[in-house]
Amino acid sequence: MLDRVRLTYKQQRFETLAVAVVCLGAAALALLASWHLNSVGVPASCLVDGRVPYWNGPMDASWMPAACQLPSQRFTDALTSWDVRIVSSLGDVLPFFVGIAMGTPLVARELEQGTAPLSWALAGARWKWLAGRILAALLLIVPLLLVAGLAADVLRGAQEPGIDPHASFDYFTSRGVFFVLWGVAALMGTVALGTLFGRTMPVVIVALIVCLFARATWERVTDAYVLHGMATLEMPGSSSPGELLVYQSDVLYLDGKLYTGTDCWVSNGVPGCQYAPGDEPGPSSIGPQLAWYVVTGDHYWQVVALESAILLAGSAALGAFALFWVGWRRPY
Amino acid sequence: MLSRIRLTFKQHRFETIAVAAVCVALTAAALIEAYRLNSLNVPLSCLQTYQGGFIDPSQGPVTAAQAHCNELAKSFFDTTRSLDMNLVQLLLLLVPLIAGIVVGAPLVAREIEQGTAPLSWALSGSRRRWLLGKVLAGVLLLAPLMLAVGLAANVLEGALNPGLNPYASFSNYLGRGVPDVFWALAAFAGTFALGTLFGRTMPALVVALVVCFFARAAWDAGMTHFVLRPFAVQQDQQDQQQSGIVIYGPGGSGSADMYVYSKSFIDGKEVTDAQVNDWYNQNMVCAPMPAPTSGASASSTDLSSPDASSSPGAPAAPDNPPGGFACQTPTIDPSHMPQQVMYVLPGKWYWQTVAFESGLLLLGALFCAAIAFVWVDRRRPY
Repeated sequence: MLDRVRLTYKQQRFETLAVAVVCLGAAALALLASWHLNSVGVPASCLVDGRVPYWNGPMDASWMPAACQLPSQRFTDALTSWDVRIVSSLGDVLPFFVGIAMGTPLVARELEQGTAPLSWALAGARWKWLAGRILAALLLIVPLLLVAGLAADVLRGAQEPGIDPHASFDYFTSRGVFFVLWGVAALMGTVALGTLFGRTMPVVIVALIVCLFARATWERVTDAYVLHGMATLEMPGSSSPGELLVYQSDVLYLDGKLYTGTDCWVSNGVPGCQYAPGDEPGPSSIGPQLAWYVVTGDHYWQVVALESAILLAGSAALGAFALFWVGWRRPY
Repeated sequence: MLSRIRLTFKQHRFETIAVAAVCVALTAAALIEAYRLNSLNVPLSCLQTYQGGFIDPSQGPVTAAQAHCNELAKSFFDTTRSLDMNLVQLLLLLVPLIAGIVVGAPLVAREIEQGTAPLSWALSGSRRRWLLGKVLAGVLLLAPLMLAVGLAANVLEGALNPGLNPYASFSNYLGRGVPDVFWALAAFAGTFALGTLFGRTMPALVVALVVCFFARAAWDAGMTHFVLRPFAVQQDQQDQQQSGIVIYGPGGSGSADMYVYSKSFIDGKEVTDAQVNDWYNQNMVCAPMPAPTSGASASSTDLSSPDASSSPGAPAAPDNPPGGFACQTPTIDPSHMPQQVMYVLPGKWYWQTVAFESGLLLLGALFCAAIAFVWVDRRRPY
């Protein structure tokens, strides 16, 4: 098995090197960007809800105390610099790039080049041959993506200095262990497509489309079906940093209680009010409001574990399909 | 030449059909989304006065017309934030590059990889003529498809920003219209040049994806900082206040002009940001504010607002700090307060700017193609 793993790296040396360089490069860039942000040294007293107040220019930031203006300006400049923005957006593409780049040639190229029958004969069993190749890919991408994912966590911590990234749902599916989970899911999906099509370019095209849809719909689907039951009601006006807004209530709340008055109503999800003369609320009140059902940051690890289990189960199902199908398919 | 073009489509039938199907479907989807938005017939005034699902009681009793207006606006913003709309917008951004890469990667690399290139070269008479036929096929496939996608994206942009003329506005201008064609051609030329260099499909694809990602991500910042800076002009006061900025929702303004840089002045004298800070520090008094309480919170913590999210970096309203500080506005003649002058490319320069940037992309594509034509003649045939 060890020889098969080594041989896989040798056969796919370009992809192996490219994936390693890109992952380590992304991790290094993320750490560099974090250092860049941390080196601004924004005082803790300047943070608002754990975040550095956004600098919109001297005229707009005039409400900030003097001691906070320069750090806020420098921090915003660093945060909006193109290098930090590019590194921040890597979390949405890197795992898929790695999974597809490693998974595509794993089966499809051998079938396309006609070397698969010989490899199968030498391995003894087709599934054993494929298992060795999948193992090689996993051994490469899991540690690399873990490093990149942890670096992305460090970067998130630097972007929101007062918020623990492991107790915050801000971009939580684009950092940390999700790097590994998305990468493994993309790899398994691509391998399964490779066993189906047996051609490199069709696999790349279909994998790109499937991954794009899966990533774009993931949060909406998990909010609607997985986290719906976990969410708890949060009264309007109170919020905790890093919480996940899951869905909105369809009734009004006021001062921590269900609103039972008749002056305000909800129509098509929009609250409206028509107060009787003399009943108008004071200028500091915004009246009855819709509340949100949220998952608070202290449930971070439960949510991550739940979503990880779903992604891993999907990956395992795709891997099992590939192992099954490779035994049945024609060898060209 | 015609047979060579036909043969290229046949050889790459999966890529050809896949790219054509995705582009046609995306064009149709963008037009359907635009139709959905337009068919809501939301008056622009409703979008401009929409308060995020909340009607401020201090503005007096809510009339039935106001409530209806707010409902219409909410339907509009719900549609703009729907999953299908987000998917279409994401695809409109990515498809030009992906189509170029997918068509370009196997164009040369696959023939070299599979060992059929030497025979093809011998039958064509010349390697360059062989490559020209294949490149022409790619261009003939991509150009009309991308034009359709780009025009549909323009229609969608117009529907997303009612009141904004997409042909006189820089709102998302590189992700729609004619630039789509040139992004695709640049990605295509770069990828087949890489295919000629490497002679392998996957390496060409992997490198092209990385290069295109960085090129696309850095393009806007690069253009604004280095290329378009000398052309920027002082923003027209009228543009700044009225026609230049179309406000269509809470916190969401579609600027027709492209912001390039700004300068600050105090009493007509140019000053730095630090000097403006000093001025405010001398003339304003700030004090910490107690955290908002339930039922009487500031609007920046209004969770019923569709814009309320836990996203970082969201600008805090300066006159309404989220539980942070409160400052007293100086009682000074406004003409002596710091003034900020924006330097922009006016929206009416849309076509000139698009032509200029498309020209740059085309030059890049021609440069990559030239490398491919030189290299294909010199490379080893395996």
